[in-house]
Amino acid sequence: MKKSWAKTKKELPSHPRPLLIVTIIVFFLTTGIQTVYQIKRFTTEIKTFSGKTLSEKNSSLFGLPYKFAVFCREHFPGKYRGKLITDLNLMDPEGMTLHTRLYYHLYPINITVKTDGPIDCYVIFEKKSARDAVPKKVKAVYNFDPSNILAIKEELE
Amino acid sequence: MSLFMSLALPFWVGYTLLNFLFRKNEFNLITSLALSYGLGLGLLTLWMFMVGIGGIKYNVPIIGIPLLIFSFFFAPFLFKKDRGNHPFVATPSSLKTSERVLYMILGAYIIYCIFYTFWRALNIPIYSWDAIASIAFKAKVFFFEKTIPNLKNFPNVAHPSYPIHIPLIQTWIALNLGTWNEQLIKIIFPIAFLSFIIIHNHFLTFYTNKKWALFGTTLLISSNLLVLHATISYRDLFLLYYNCTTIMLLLLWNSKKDDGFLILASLYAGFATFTKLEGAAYLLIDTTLFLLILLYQKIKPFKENIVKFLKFTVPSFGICSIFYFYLLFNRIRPEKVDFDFTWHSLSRIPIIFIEFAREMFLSKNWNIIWYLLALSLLINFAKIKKKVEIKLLLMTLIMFFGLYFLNCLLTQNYIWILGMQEKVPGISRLILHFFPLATLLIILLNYADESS
Repeated sequence: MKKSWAKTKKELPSHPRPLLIVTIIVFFLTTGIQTVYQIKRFTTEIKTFSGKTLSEKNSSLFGLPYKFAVFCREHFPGKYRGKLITDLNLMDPEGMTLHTRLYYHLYPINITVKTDGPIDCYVIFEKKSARDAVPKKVKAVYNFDPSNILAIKEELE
Repeated sequence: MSLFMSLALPFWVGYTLLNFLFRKNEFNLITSLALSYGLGLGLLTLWMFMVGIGGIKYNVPIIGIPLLIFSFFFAPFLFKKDRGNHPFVATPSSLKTSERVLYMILGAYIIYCIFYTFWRALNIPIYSWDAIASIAFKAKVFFFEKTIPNLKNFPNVAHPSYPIHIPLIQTWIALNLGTWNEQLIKIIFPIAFLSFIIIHNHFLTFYTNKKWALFGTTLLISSNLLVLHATISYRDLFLLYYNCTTIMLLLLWNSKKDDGFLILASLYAGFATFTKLEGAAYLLIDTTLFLLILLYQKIKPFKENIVKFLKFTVPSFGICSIFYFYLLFNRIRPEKVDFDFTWHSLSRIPIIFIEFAREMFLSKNWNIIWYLLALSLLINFAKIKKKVEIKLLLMTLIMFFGLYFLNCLLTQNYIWILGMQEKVPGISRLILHFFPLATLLIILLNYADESS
């Protein structure tokens, strides 16, 4: 195969040299500039993430949803189905983002189950006067802060 | 150690199957490993998929032991063939000082990019939207449930119809680790990046020489978006890896006439369909490319052509059908396939062209790759007709653009692709799946054999 390529060498048009040189210079310039920016970003990331535990990194990246999810999993460890009670508008990008971060980090407490199915706990998240939103017949209530509460049902289903 | 073991199994399984497929050694060890990676991971996730839908609970021995037994059937082929002469390192030749400096700069840049991707992937946890909303979340569900639950029962999980190659690999890594770790499960991405660089380099070395292949590799990794995707938990990098490797293998099959390339390409095309929905559409492009190659190979006995056709279509369409039958039986509708065309849609045509041009020429994702391709096509126009590889690559690239042009024109996907409602359009991620064809074309078009 290589031979057939070699054979046609004489048929190939030679490059206009100045154009080739300009192209190489532009490529090196653009690559150089983007590498400088990449290195700057890299340096910032090293400062932000080096020497931290995974939990610390997740806390700084995700904030409240992560911290609350960890709180819930610590107080109610295991695989359970939960119902989300929230004031967030889940159709709005901000609400959707917070909800996604919460359901990801909360799992294996699963708040993505069908709402009409059996549940084991109530995850009350970003709810004004969350205490008032706790349903009756719960056996334990864990307060993270006034807006975020985990309530465990009396009889687990 | 457990992380190493979780990666060693797919490498080993892929390596043994790769050696079985080729009667003689076509690749050096490094390229073989780069190909084995995707091959092994594809077989691993297909097996995990079967185990999961079969209702058997996941654990490392249940998944690993049958794959090991499978690999031992092919292991004898490792020792039966001519090892060939494939040096790992270029033989030192008399280089000018300026050339030596240039190679050192390019080499340092490539090493820096590889180091950066590994550092970033392994030090920043999964944070990007699609990853936590769908990809890694599915993997987390599979890991904790130890099986594949019916995703319809998870109404908030984004996109239950999406293929699950990446979630299953992440599940496998987590099963080996024995815990869910958002950093370590990302190891698969920089390795896929490195593997693809090696395959890309091998392809260019075959058609040009080591110097031009080095230029090609530099050009490839000068894409910001590629480097970014090697560090986040999205599926696009793996689709690029499978899709572009399929095309390169088909071209190598055309040149070397060894059907091992054809079967390997077919398996890769199949795994692409298990990676993202787009993979199924790319399989049609791959099949068209295969048919074009058959045409270029001139007339052969009809029977032989049929055998080759079956060698390409049976593995690829077979793998593709497994997942789509699963969706069908579970009544999960594939997304992004609704036909929606009215005469009014024609008014989108200029917008489609403008948005594609804007993304290719004005975004910071591709360095100056698309400018270089345009310039190379202009300068070397005559070469297009003379070189079958260039012609086929160009036709394939046009088919990819044509696919997305029609997709924007005939479906509602244009809203997502062109970013009509969202801040970030999907167009860049779609171009990512096939942009390495542009870097291959640039090198092949500009290469002039200096040996004679």
